[in-house]
Amino acid sequence: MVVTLLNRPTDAPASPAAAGDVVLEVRGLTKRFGSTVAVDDLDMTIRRGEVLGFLGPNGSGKSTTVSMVLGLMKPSQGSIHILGRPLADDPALVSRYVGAIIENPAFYPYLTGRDNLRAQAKMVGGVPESRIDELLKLVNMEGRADGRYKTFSLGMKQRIGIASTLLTNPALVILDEPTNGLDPAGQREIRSIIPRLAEQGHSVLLASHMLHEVEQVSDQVIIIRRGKKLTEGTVNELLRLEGYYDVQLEESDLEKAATVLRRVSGVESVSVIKDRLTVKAGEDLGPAISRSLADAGLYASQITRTRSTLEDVFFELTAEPPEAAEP
Amino acid sequence: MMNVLQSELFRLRKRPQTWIMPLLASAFIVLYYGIGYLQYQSGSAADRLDMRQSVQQLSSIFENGMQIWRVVALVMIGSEHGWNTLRPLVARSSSRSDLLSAKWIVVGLYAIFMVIAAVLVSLLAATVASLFMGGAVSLPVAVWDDMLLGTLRWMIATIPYAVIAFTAALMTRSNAAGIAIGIGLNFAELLVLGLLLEVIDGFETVVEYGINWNVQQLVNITTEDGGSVLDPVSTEQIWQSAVILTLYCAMAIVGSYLVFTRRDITSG
Repeated sequence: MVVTLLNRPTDAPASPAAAGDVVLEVRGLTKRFGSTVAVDDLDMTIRRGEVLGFLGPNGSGKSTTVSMVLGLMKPSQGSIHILGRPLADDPALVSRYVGAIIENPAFYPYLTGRDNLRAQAKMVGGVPESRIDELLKLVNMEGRADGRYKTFSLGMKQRIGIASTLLTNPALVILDEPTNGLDPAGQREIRSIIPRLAEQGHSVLLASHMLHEVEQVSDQVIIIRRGKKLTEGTVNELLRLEGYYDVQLEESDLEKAATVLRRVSGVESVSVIKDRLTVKAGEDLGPAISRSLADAGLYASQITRTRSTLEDVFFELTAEPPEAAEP
Repeated sequence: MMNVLQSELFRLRKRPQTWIMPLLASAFIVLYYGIGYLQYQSGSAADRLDMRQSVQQLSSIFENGMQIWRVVALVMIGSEHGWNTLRPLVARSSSRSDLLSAKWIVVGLYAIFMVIAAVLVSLLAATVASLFMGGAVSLPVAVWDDMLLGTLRWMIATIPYAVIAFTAALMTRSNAAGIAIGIGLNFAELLVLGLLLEVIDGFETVVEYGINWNVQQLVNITTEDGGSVLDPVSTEQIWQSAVILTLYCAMAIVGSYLVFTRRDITSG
């Protein structure tokens, strides 16, 4: 059902004609709470039809960033442009062009699922009842939307939340932990919706702890820690950056090989793990590793490039240095 | 602004509390007449319900009913924090000012609705009770005047407290704090000012700038045949009290805009 409806041709997301390709542009965004810097000089750009994975440990500043983009918090410094227009000059940009679930979906418990969507539709105006029906079908809630929201399971609440973000056919959809608390089937269903939103021309900012989820659906990824951007790039770029070589040799040659490879330009680190070497290096260094070993009279029985997962990258980048780690 | 207001009214209409509160108030009014009828059945002809008298007495029921409006007013904003609906609400609104204005308007409209409902139920109950008890069923102009006067008293006495309760719930992000301040304020004011009056000479002048004292001056409007039980109040004093209470309300309303439009919404 979800697939069928999402494949239907629909109107392009709402946006001003002259907005260009960039839907959200954040420059030098900083938020201070007293002496605490929650978000530190953050830059972020989301283009039309792009899914941006926004990763960071708890307390890293993801929700604060989302809150500033939604106009809920005022930045201490920096600028936010939605479709080329400064948010500071026109707060209504959010209601017109952005749909969001902030942390968990929050609706009125005494209203039905359908009435909750109606209430939101009335806030912005111009949303026909047929759009609500369409969205309820989209999230597989058409048969259950007339129950009271307070009786819904978490999965049903998430579905209503996603439907609400799409009410105005927004240019930018912000999903903060959209699969939180869902069973595996529900997670899979929501994951299947996200790339299709992008296919329809919506841009998606996906803030999530679910690393495999971000890896599967994101075009670009930003990883932050303590409010500061650690890295940014496409998923492939990040994984290539963090890949490593698995080198198998005679056990007696391991230490000598490690010494040789540590001298190779471009090799970041070499570790001896049981009967093999793990060489952290760029993707194009395979021939150099092989040649260096051969020059030293060492012959590897196998050299394979192992691709990291986004989880590897994430933990590598966000690991606290020992002196900064919390007790 | 109109979109936000429509959404607020839609949610108000769908909220059970919206209907439970006036039903509760109506039940009290009907109970009042029911007790009157029981007294009539067990008493003499002299106990016959005098409609005019009963309508005048109803103003005390309205005064008690004002607590209900205070609660309804403050939960308009306080519950948004409890349900975590404030952030999506702000994100969907054309502006924070529009959202707050819509809420203030809905609070006002609900007060008018409550008053109309209470007046209609009172009239109906009084008419039915009069029919049963053999009293006059027709409503002379003087009865209407008393009815309107009672309602006016109720509204005036309520407005400053309801406005402060709403602002307190907004500022504290809490229904509980709003209820405590909104309902406890007049008791606290009486207690604190009463104590200060005992220990500080010349404090009477300060008391005259309090909310409670000025509310009393306004609700003490006398009718032509002396409907008031308090000392007559001069027209000048009535205007002065009106200005003081308006100032309190204006300060609370302006404060609510200043806080709501500027602060970071980190919860709700």
